[in-house]
Amino acid sequence: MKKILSGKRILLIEDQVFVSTMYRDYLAANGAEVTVAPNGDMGLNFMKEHAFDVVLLDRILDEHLDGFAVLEKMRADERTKETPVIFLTNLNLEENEKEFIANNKVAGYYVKADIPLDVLAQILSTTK
Amino acid sequence: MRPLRNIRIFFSILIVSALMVSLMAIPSIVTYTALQSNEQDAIEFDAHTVERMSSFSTFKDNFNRALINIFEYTQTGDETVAIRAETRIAALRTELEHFASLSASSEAEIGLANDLRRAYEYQIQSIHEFRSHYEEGASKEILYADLLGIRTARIQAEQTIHVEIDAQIREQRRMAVERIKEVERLFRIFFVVAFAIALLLSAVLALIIARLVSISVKQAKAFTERIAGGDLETVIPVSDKNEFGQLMTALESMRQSLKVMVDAKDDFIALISHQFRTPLTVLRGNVQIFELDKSGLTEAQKRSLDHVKTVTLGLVKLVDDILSVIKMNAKGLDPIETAPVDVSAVVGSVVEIVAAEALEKKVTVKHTIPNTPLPHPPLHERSLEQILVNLIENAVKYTGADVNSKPKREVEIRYRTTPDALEVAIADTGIGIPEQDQRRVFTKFFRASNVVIRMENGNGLGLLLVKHIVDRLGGTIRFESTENVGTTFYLTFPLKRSTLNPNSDHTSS
Repeated sequence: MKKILSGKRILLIEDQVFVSTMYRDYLAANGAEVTVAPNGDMGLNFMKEHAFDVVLLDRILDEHLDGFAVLEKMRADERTKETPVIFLTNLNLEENEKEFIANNKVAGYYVKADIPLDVLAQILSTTK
Repeated sequence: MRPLRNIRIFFSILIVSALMVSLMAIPSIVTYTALQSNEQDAIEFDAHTVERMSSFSTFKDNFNRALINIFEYTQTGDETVAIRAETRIAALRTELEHFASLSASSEAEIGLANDLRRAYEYQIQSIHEFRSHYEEGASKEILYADLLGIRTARIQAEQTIHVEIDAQIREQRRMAVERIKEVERLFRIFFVVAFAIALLLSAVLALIIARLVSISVKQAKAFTERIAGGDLETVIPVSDKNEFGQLMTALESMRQSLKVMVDAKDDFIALISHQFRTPLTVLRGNVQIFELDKSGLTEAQKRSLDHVKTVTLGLVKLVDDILSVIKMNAKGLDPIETAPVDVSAVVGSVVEIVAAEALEKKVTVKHTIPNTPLPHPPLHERSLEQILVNLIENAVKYTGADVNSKPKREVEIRYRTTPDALEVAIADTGIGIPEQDQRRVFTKFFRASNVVIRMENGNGLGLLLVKHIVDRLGGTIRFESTENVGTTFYLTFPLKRSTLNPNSDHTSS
C-alpha cells in the first residue's frame, strides 16, 4: 500500500522536542522524509544544504528568530523563495498578521490543537 | 428607586394633611358663623327691645303727665293747664308715630308693634273721652268710670308689652338653641365624613407606599435572581439614598465582587486551558501514532489505548469549549458574516455525524423535512453546524441515557415557517431538565442535577456556547422540558438580518 506522504521531504522547525517528535513520527509513518530543526537558524541552514517540498514552521522559536523572521529570510533567499510553508502554532492569527501571511505566500496557518494529525497529513499530501 | 417616588409620598401626605385641615376648618367656620349670627340677633333684638321699652316709657311718662294735667285742669279750670295737657297728648301721638316707625323685622315684632299701637290709641282715646265728658259737665260717676277706663287701658298696655317682650325673648332663645343644635348636628356629620375620608385616604396612601415598597423589593429580587441565574454583567442602578438605595448599593457591590471573582476564575481557567493545549495536542497526536499500527499491541493494551483516546478527546473538547466561551464573553467580538443557508441540509449532515452514537444508544433520529421548500435564513454555516451538533448530540445522549427504562427512544427534528422566521425544533424523549434547573440551562458549567446523578459525560459548556452563537446569529433559542418525558429546543432564525446589534439580543427562555 502506497503511503500518502511517500517521497515528501518535510522540514519541521519546532523547538519543543516532544511536539516535533510526535509530528515526525506520525508523518514518517505515513511515508514522509522528515527533518527536524529545533530553532530557526538550524532550519535556515538545513534549507541551504537540502531542498524540501514543504516547511512546517512554528511561530515561537527562540528570542532572536521567530517563525515570521524565518519566513522572511526564506522568501529573501532565491533557493527557498517558492518553498511552501505551513504554520503550525498555538497562537491565533491577529488581524495585522493576516496581511503578512498573504504577502509571503503561506500555504496554511493552523493552530496545533485544532488540527489532528490525520487531517494535517491529508493537507500535506496535497501541498505543492 | 427614583427620587420621584419620595416626592410623591411627600405630596400625598401633604394633600391628606391639607384635606384634614380643611375638613376641620369647615365645622369651625360653620360654628363661628352660627354663633356670630346668634350674637348679632341678640344685639339687634336688644336694640329693638330697648328702643320699644324707651318708647313705651316716654309714652307712659307723657300719658301720666297728661293725666295729671287734666286732673289739675278739672280742679282749677286753668286753661294753661288744659293747653299743657293738649301738648302732652300731642306728644303721645308723636310717640305713637315714632313707635310705628320702629323697624319690625319679625312677625312677632310686627304683632307686638300693632298690639302696643292699639294700646296707645286706646289710652289716647280714653283721655279724650274723659276730657270731653268733663267739658260737657258730665256727672262724677261718668268721669270716675272714664278714669277707671284710662287706668285699665294703661295696665293693659303695660301687660301687653311685657307679655310680648317675654315671648320675644323666649323665641330668641329657642332660635339660638336651635342654631346651636344645628351646629352640633353639622359637627357630627362633618366628623363622621372627615373620619371616613381620612380613613379612606390613609388606606390609599398606605397602599401607595406599600406598592412603592413592593416595587423596590421586587426590583431587588429581580436583580438577585439575575445574579443567581448567572448574569453578572448587568449593572444594578442605584439612584436613591434611602434604605432601598442602600440595599441596591449593597447588591451592586455584591455583584461587583462576584464578578471580580468570576472573572478571576475565568482568567485562571483560560490560563490553565492554554497550558493544557500543547500537552493535549501531543497526547492526541501520540494516540494517533499508536492507531496507525496496532498490530503489535495486546488486547489489553488496545483497550487501554481506547480509554486514553476517549479521555483525551473529551479533554481536548473541554479545553476548546472553555476557550470558546471565554472568547465569546470577551468584548468586541466581530459580527459573524452571514449568507443564506439551507438549514435542512446542515441538519442532514449533523444527523449523519451522530448516527453512530444514536445506533449504539438505540435512539431513532427522525428528520422531518416538509414537502414545501424551506426558506434559507441568513446564517453562518459553520456556526449553525456547531449549534446543531451540540443540540442533536445532547438529545441523543440524554434520550439514550437510560438504556432500558424508556419505551420510546426518539429524537425528532422538525421545522415550522412563519412569515419572517424559520423555527427548528429538536425534540427528544429523554430524561428532561428538572424544573429547578431550567433557568440555569444557558449558564456556564451547567449540568442538570439528574444528569450529574447519572454520570453522563459532558462539560457543561455546550448550551452556553449554543446560546452565544445563536445570539450572534441574531436568532433566539428557548426550550420546553418535563423531567422524564423529554425536552424540545426551539431555534428561531429571522429570515431578514436584524439591523440590531446581535450581541445585544438576549431573548431566550
